[in-house]
Amino acid sequence: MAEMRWQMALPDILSEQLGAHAGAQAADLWIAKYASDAGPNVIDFMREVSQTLQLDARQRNALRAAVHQARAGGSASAVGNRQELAAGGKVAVALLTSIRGRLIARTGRPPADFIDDLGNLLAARDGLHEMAAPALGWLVQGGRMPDLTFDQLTNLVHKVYIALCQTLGPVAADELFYAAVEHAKTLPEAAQFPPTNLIFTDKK
Amino acid sequence: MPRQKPGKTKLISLLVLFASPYAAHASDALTSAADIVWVSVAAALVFFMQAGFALLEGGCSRAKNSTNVILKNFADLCFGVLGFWVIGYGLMFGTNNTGWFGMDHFLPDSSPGNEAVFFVFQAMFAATAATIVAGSVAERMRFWPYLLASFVITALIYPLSGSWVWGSFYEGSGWLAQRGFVDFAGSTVVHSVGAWCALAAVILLGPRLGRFAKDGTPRTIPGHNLPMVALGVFILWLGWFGFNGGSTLSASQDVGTVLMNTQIAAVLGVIGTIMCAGLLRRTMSAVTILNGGLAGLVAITAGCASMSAGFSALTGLIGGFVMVISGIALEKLRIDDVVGAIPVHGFAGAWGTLAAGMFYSGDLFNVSRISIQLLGIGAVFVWSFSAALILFGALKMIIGIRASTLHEQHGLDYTEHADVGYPEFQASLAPRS
Repeated sequence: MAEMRWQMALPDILSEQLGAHAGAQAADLWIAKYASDAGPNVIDFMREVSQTLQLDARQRNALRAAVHQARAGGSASAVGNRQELAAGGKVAVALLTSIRGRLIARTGRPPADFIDDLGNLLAARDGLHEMAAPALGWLVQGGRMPDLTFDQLTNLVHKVYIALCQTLGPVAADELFYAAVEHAKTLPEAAQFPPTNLIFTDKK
Repeated sequence: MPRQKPGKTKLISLLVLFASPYAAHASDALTSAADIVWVSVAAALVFFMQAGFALLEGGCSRAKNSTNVILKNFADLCFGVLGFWVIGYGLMFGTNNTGWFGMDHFLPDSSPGNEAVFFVFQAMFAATAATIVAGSVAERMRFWPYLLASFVITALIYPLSGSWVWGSFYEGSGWLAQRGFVDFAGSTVVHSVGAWCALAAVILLGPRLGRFAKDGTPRTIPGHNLPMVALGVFILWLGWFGFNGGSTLSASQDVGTVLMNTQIAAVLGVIGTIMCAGLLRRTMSAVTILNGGLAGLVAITAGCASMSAGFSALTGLIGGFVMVISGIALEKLRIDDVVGAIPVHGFAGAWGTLAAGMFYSGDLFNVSRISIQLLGIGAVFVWSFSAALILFGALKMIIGIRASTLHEQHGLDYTEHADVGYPEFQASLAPRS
């Protein structure tokens, strides 16, 4: 649903960002070639639009911003949608519990360094604020995932990645993280809410 | 075919040439067709070194950042040559009456042709100094600040110290050249300047996410494509024949001396690296061994026209040792240099410049000459490092230089260019996969 929604919203946002003429042309291309795909290739779209319309650097940035804005809008609206939220939540749980499971498989329990680092990251100013402690507790001990907004969920996933990098090093962290992503992709809910939605956001 | 020793007269004239590089007036240099053709070919070879740097640095980076690194190499050439054309060339080679910087020949025209060839050759040198930074700051520096820095390095930082040594193409000369500082093709003038700028940048940037454990233990982050790295080093090695050989500015037998010394030092650089790694019981990684060749090449660049083959070999050999040991020291200081550019271009360059004074043909181990070499190495370090600290510090404060951790996770290919270097193999990384 959210997937459909952001795809439908994109033409309007393109016109806002690129101006009426270029925006309309980009929107036409989107509708004609990409919007009907189940998982449209945004990068190919942006590349084709940039080449076809010979966009300059400022326009390319505007195009990228438009796509991000549309996807973020779609993602944000997913939070409001019960079905989407349920799917996203299951995917997030699968992703994070897979990471926890792999960490435990390495050392018998999540390493103390990882818990410390993650605790600090979640408690930091750009962390999860009041949800930091419940989120950390859930990650370490399991149980029921606390209610997190979409932004908090993506923030949590990113902070877990940083803590993994600090604890294990970036190579092991990438291996472990993306093995967990692959695992999460096997869930039926991943068709509705791909785990990459939790990773690729419009944040700077 | 028996090898001919260069005659005494030729050797003396060569010594005069590098004792005060480019001492000839512009109208005297590059007037014969052979000279112009040779220096044009050399300029093309030095340009091709950019491809070598791109492959080396791209291969040393993770797949998710490889396109970004290669594009930085490509774009810094453009911004660098622009900066050098507009400001840098005049600062470096314009009339230098004070000894500190040139004051004319900004935005030089393409006529007369001999000066234009000289400009093209020197512009490639300037771009080389700038592109050294790309490898050190790979995987975490944002694109735009990097390009702005490249412009400033080639417009200001590189040419100013360059004018101290080579600033006598038109009139006057640099204060280091006046004291007899020897740097024939730029161990210090080009390579160390790039490396010291890179050092300032990586200190301000900080290491990549997870590069060092809490106790300071370094963690290896392997590059994604070692064959690319090897090909890059081969191309750089080839380009070095133009870099050093072209610095004679004439198609003469002196080119042979320079090329032979260059080749000898490069192979000994590799051997020195292997020996040093073996003695220290360090892993002889591919990147380390390949960098050994570059260390030998950088080291001999200053003295390739002024020392015998035996001393060239020693310079290259020690260059390999210097590169390995300084690389270890930087890691201990938690300085994250992705491709090892600072040990290769900075420390091996400084050693090579010192060696050029120590092993100066006909004047071996002259303390006065060695002191001047040390003075030059120190002065160029102080200038380029502090200027780069100010440059990158200002960029950090004004627009920010470091990519966010989120962008570091995604990879700069996607976040900076909306691209993925290897879409078929990066399914998990690709959005909408």
